[in-house]
Amino acid sequence: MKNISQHRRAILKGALAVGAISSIGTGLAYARPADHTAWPKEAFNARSIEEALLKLMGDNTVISGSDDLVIKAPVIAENGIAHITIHSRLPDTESISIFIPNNRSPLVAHFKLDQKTAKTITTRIKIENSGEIIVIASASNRLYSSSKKIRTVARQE
Amino acid sequence: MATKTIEIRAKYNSGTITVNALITHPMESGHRINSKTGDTIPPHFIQKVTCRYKETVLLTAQWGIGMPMNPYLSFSFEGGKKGEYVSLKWTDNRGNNDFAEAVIK
Repeated sequence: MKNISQHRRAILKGALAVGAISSIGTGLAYARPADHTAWPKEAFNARSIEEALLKLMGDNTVISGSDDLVIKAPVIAENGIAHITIHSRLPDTESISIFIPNNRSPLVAHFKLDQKTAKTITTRIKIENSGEIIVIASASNRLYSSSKKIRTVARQE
Repeated sequence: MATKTIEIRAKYNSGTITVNALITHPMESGHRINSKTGDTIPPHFIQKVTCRYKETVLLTAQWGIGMPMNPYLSFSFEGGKKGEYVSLKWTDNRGNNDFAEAVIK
Protein backbone atom coordinates (compact mmCIF):
# COMPACT_ATOMS: atom_id res chain seq x y z
CA MET A 1 0.00 0.00 0.00
CA LYS A 2 2.69 2.44 1.11
CA ASN A 3 5.05 1.56 -1.75
CA ILE A 4 2.42 2.16 -4.38
CA SER A 5 1.30 5.48 -2.97
CA GLN A 6 4.89 6.66 -2.69
CA HIS A 7 5.51 5.56 -6.24
CA ARG A 8 2.42 7.40 -7.42
CA ARG A 9 3.50 10.52 -5.59
CA ALA A 10 6.87 10.34 -7.30
CA ILE A 11 5.18 10.10 -10.69
CA LEU A 12 2.88 12.97 -9.83
CA LYS A 13 5.75 15.17 -8.66
CA GLY A 14 7.75 14.39 -11.76
CA ALA A 15 4.79 15.12 -13.97
CA LEU A 16 4.10 18.42 -12.23
CA ALA A 17 7.73 19.47 -12.63
CA VAL A 18 7.57 18.74 -16.35
CA GLY A 19 4.28 20.61 -16.51
CA ALA A 20 5.78 23.65 -14.83
CA ILE A 21 8.67 24.04 -17.24
CA SER A 22 6.53 23.52 -20.33
CA SER A 23 3.88 25.97 -21.48
CA ILE A 24 0.55 26.20 -19.63
CA GLY A 25 -1.37 24.38 -22.35
CA THR A 26 0.81 21.31 -22.39
CA GLY A 27 1.28 21.57 -18.63
CA LEU A 28 -2.33 20.57 -18.18
CA ALA A 29 -1.80 17.46 -20.24
CA TYR A 30 1.27 16.47 -18.24
CA ALA A 31 -0.54 16.94 -14.96
CA ARG A 32 -2.34 13.65 -15.61
CA PRO A 33 0.46 11.12 -16.09
CA ALA A 34 -0.07 7.94 -18.04
CA ASP A 35 -0.67 5.44 -15.28
CA HIS A 36 -0.02 1.87 -16.38
CA THR A 37 -2.68 0.62 -14.02
CA ALA A 38 -5.32 2.95 -15.45
CA TRP A 39 -8.53 1.47 -16.82
CA PRO A 40 -7.94 0.70 -20.53
CA LYS A 41 -10.93 2.62 -21.88
CA GLU A 42 -10.12 2.07 -25.56
CA ALA A 43 -9.86 -1.69 -25.09
CA PHE A 44 -13.21 -1.83 -23.30
CA ASN A 45 -14.85 0.35 -25.96
CA ALA A 46 -13.47 -1.76 -28.82
CA ARG A 47 -16.06 -3.55 -30.96
CA SER A 48 -13.92 -6.53 -31.92
CA ILE A 49 -11.59 -8.85 -30.05
CA GLU A 50 -8.69 -8.02 -32.36
CA GLU A 51 -9.02 -4.30 -31.68
CA ALA A 52 -9.49 -4.82 -27.94
CA LEU A 53 -6.40 -7.06 -27.75
CA LEU A 54 -4.29 -4.57 -29.63
CA LYS A 55 -5.32 -1.78 -27.26
CA LEU A 56 -4.93 -3.96 -24.18
CA MET A 57 -1.77 -5.94 -24.87
CA GLY A 58 -0.27 -4.04 -27.80
CA ASP A 59 -0.38 -7.21 -29.85
CA ASN A 60 -3.04 -9.48 -31.32
CA THR A 61 -1.08 -12.46 -32.51
CA VAL A 62 -2.74 -15.30 -30.68
CA ILE A 63 -1.86 -18.98 -30.49
CA SER A 64 -5.37 -20.42 -30.52
CA GLY A 65 -6.81 -23.63 -29.15
CA SER A 66 -4.38 -23.98 -26.29
CA ASP A 67 -4.97 -27.16 -24.25
CA ASP A 68 -3.19 -25.57 -21.29
CA LEU A 69 -5.92 -23.01 -20.85
CA VAL A 70 -8.96 -24.70 -19.37
CA ILE A 71 -12.40 -23.08 -19.19
CA LYS A 72 -15.05 -24.54 -16.95
CA ALA A 73 -18.45 -23.06 -17.77
CA PRO A 74 -22.03 -24.32 -18.00
CA VAL A 75 -23.48 -25.22 -21.41
CA ILE A 76 -26.50 -23.03 -20.68
CA ALA A 77 -26.26 -19.64 -19.00
CA GLU A 78 -29.49 -19.03 -17.11
CA ASN A 79 -30.66 -15.41 -17.15
CA GLY A 80 -27.60 -14.58 -19.25
CA ILE A 81 -25.18 -15.05 -16.38
CA ALA A 82 -22.54 -17.76 -16.25
CA HIS A 83 -20.30 -18.83 -13.42
CA ILE A 84 -16.95 -19.62 -15.00
CA THR A 85 -13.61 -20.96 -13.83
CA ILE A 86 -10.47 -20.42 -15.85
CA HIS A 87 -7.31 -22.35 -15.16
CA SER A 88 -4.02 -21.77 -16.91
CA ARG A 89 -1.33 -24.45 -16.97
CA LEU A 90 0.92 -22.22 -19.08
CA PRO A 91 4.21 -21.44 -17.36
CA ASP A 92 4.61 -17.79 -16.24
CA THR A 93 1.03 -16.76 -16.85
CA GLU A 94 0.90 -13.01 -16.30
CA SER A 95 -2.65 -12.17 -17.19
CA ILE A 96 -5.98 -13.69 -18.12
CA SER A 97 -8.61 -11.86 -20.17
CA ILE A 98 -12.20 -12.86 -20.88
CA PHE A 99 -13.80 -11.93 -24.20
CA ILE A 100 -17.33 -12.50 -25.49
CA PRO A 101 -17.59 -11.58 -29.19
CA ASN A 102 -21.41 -11.36 -29.05
CA ASN A 103 -21.46 -8.82 -26.22
CA ARG A 104 -21.66 -5.09 -26.97
CA SER A 105 -18.34 -4.69 -25.25
CA PRO A 106 -16.39 -7.86 -26.17
CA LEU A 107 -13.77 -7.36 -23.47
CA VAL A 108 -15.43 -8.44 -20.23
CA ALA A 109 -12.57 -8.59 -17.75
CA HIS A 110 -8.81 -8.54 -17.57
CA PHE A 111 -6.94 -10.04 -14.62
CA LYS A 112 -3.27 -9.44 -13.88
CA LEU A 113 -1.73 -12.08 -11.68
CA ASP A 114 1.22 -12.13 -9.31
CA GLN A 115 3.67 -15.04 -9.26
CA LYS A 116 2.32 -16.07 -5.84
CA THR A 117 -1.21 -16.22 -7.16
CA ALA A 118 -2.53 -19.50 -8.49
CA LYS A 119 -3.45 -19.32 -12.14
CA THR A 120 -7.10 -20.07 -11.47
CA ILE A 121 -9.88 -17.53 -11.37
CA THR A 122 -13.58 -18.02 -10.75
CA THR A 123 -16.06 -15.27 -11.52
CA ARG A 124 -19.49 -14.53 -12.95
CA ILE A 125 -19.97 -12.91 -16.34
CA LYS A 126 -22.88 -11.60 -18.40
CA ILE A 127 -23.60 -13.33 -21.68
CA GLU A 128 -25.85 -11.22 -23.89
CA ASN A 129 -26.36 -13.76 -26.69
CA SER A 130 -25.55 -17.40 -27.26
CA GLY A 131 -22.10 -17.86 -28.67
CA GLU A 132 -18.51 -18.28 -27.63
CA ILE A 133 -16.46 -17.28 -24.63
CA ILE A 134 -12.86 -16.69 -25.55
CA VAL A 135 -10.19 -16.63 -22.88
CA ILE A 136 -6.78 -15.21 -23.71
CA ALA A 137 -3.82 -15.66 -21.42
CA SER A 138 -0.50 -13.91 -21.70
CA ALA A 139 2.47 -16.10 -20.78
CA SER A 140 6.17 -15.62 -21.56
CA ASN A 141 5.33 -12.70 -23.89
CA ARG A 142 2.96 -14.78 -25.99
CA LEU A 143 -0.82 -14.83 -26.14
CA TYR A 144 -2.71 -18.10 -25.93
CA SER A 145 -6.43 -18.55 -26.41
CA SER A 146 -9.06 -21.11 -25.66
CA SER A 147 -12.80 -20.98 -26.25
CA LYS A 148 -16.04 -22.55 -25.16
CA LYS A 149 -19.56 -22.38 -26.57
CA ILE A 150 -22.35 -21.24 -24.30
CA ARG A 151 -26.09 -20.81 -24.77
CA THR A 152 -28.29 -18.32 -22.97
CA VAL A 153 -31.92 -18.99 -22.12
CA ALA A 154 -33.24 -15.64 -20.96
CA ARG A 155 -31.50 -12.40 -21.61
CA GLN A 156 -30.81 -10.04 -18.80
CA GLU A 157 -29.40 -6.59 -19.33
CA MET B 1 -19.81 4.37 1.17
CA ALA B 2 -21.79 4.15 4.31
CA THR B 3 -22.77 0.52 4.00
CA LYS B 4 -20.45 -2.43 3.70
CA THR B 5 -20.13 -3.49 0.06
CA ILE B 6 -17.46 -6.17 0.25
CA GLU B 7 -17.92 -9.65 1.61
CA ILE B 8 -14.45 -11.24 1.68
CA ARG B 9 -13.23 -14.53 3.12
CA ALA B 10 -9.84 -16.19 3.06
CA LYS B 11 -9.38 -19.83 3.95
CA TYR B 12 -6.12 -21.69 4.57
CA ASN B 13 -5.81 -25.26 3.38
CA SER B 14 -2.41 -27.06 3.24
CA GLY B 15 -0.34 -24.11 2.05
CA THR B 16 -2.92 -22.58 -0.24
CA ILE B 17 -5.19 -19.70 0.65
CA THR B 18 -8.46 -19.40 -1.21
CA VAL B 19 -10.00 -15.95 -1.32
CA ASN B 20 -13.70 -15.53 -2.03
CA ALA B 21 -15.18 -12.08 -2.54
CA LEU B 22 -18.63 -10.78 -3.29
CA ILE B 23 -19.14 -7.09 -3.98
CA THR B 24 -22.50 -5.38 -3.75
CA HIS B 25 -22.71 -3.02 -6.70
CA PRO B 26 -25.40 -2.22 -9.33
CA MET B 27 -22.94 -2.62 -12.25
CA GLU B 28 -25.12 -0.56 -14.61
CA SER B 29 -23.96 -0.94 -18.19
CA GLY B 30 -25.39 2.36 -19.46
CA HIS B 31 -27.47 0.47 -22.03
CA ARG B 32 -30.53 -0.16 -19.87
CA ILE B 33 -33.63 2.01 -20.23
CA ASN B 34 -35.88 3.05 -17.39
CA SER B 35 -39.26 1.67 -18.50
CA LYS B 36 -41.26 4.41 -16.71
CA THR B 37 -39.44 7.48 -17.96
CA GLY B 38 -37.81 6.11 -21.12
CA ASP B 39 -34.47 7.54 -20.05
CA THR B 40 -31.21 5.65 -20.33
CA ILE B 41 -29.86 4.60 -16.96
CA PRO B 42 -26.34 6.04 -16.78
CA PRO B 43 -23.38 3.64 -16.55
CA HIS B 44 -22.19 2.86 -13.06
CA PHE B 45 -19.79 -0.04 -12.78
CA ILE B 46 -16.59 -1.18 -11.08
CA GLN B 47 -13.53 -0.64 -13.22
CA LYS B 48 -10.75 -1.84 -11.01
CA VAL B 49 -10.29 -4.35 -8.22
CA THR B 50 -7.01 -4.86 -6.37
CA CYS B 51 -6.30 -7.71 -3.98
CA ARG B 52 -3.31 -7.51 -1.70
CA TYR B 53 -1.44 -9.71 0.76
CA LYS B 54 1.06 -7.64 2.80
CA GLU B 55 2.93 -5.58 0.17
CA THR B 56 2.19 -7.97 -2.69
CA VAL B 57 -0.50 -7.16 -5.20
CA LEU B 58 -1.92 -10.63 -5.74
CA LEU B 59 -4.37 -9.71 -8.43
CA THR B 60 -5.53 -6.65 -10.34
CA ALA B 61 -8.80 -6.93 -12.19
CA GLN B 62 -10.05 -4.49 -14.79
CA TRP B 63 -13.73 -4.88 -15.45
CA GLY B 64 -16.06 -3.67 -18.15
CA ILE B 65 -19.82 -3.63 -18.53
CA GLY B 66 -19.83 -7.39 -19.11
CA MET B 67 -19.60 -8.03 -15.39
CA PRO B 68 -22.99 -8.62 -13.78
CA MET B 69 -24.63 -6.94 -10.80
CA ASN B 70 -23.00 -7.90 -7.49
CA PRO B 71 -19.84 -9.37 -8.99
CA TYR B 72 -18.14 -12.41 -7.53
CA LEU B 73 -14.46 -13.26 -7.63
CA SER B 74 -12.49 -16.19 -6.33
CA PHE B 75 -8.79 -17.01 -6.56
CA SER B 76 -6.06 -18.61 -4.49
CA PHE B 77 -2.42 -18.01 -3.65
CA GLU B 78 0.47 -19.63 -1.84
CA GLY B 79 2.71 -18.42 0.94
CA GLY B 80 0.32 -16.95 3.50
CA LYS B 81 -0.34 -18.02 7.09
CA LYS B 82 -3.40 -18.22 9.29
CA GLY B 83 -4.09 -14.97 11.14
CA GLU B 84 -2.61 -12.75 8.41
CA TYR B 85 -4.68 -10.40 6.30
CA VAL B 86 -5.82 -10.26 2.69
CA SER B 87 -7.40 -7.08 1.38
CA LEU B 88 -9.59 -6.01 -1.52
CA LYS B 89 -10.24 -2.56 -2.90
CA TRP B 90 -12.57 -1.59 -5.72
CA THR B 91 -12.99 1.65 -7.66
CA ASP B 92 -15.90 2.40 -9.99
CA ASN B 93 -16.34 4.76 -12.94
CA ARG B 94 -17.71 7.50 -10.66
CA GLY B 95 -14.63 7.39 -8.46
CA ASN B 96 -16.38 5.65 -5.58
CA ASN B 97 -14.36 3.02 -3.81
CA ASP B 98 -14.42 0.63 -0.92
CA PHE B 99 -11.86 -1.42 0.96
CA ALA B 100 -12.12 -4.51 3.12
CA GLU B 101 -9.78 -6.93 4.85
CA ALA B 102 -10.18 -10.55 5.80
CA VAL B 103 -8.25 -12.63 8.31
CA ILE B 104 -6.90 -15.87 6.84
CA LYS B 105 -8.69 -18.68 8.70
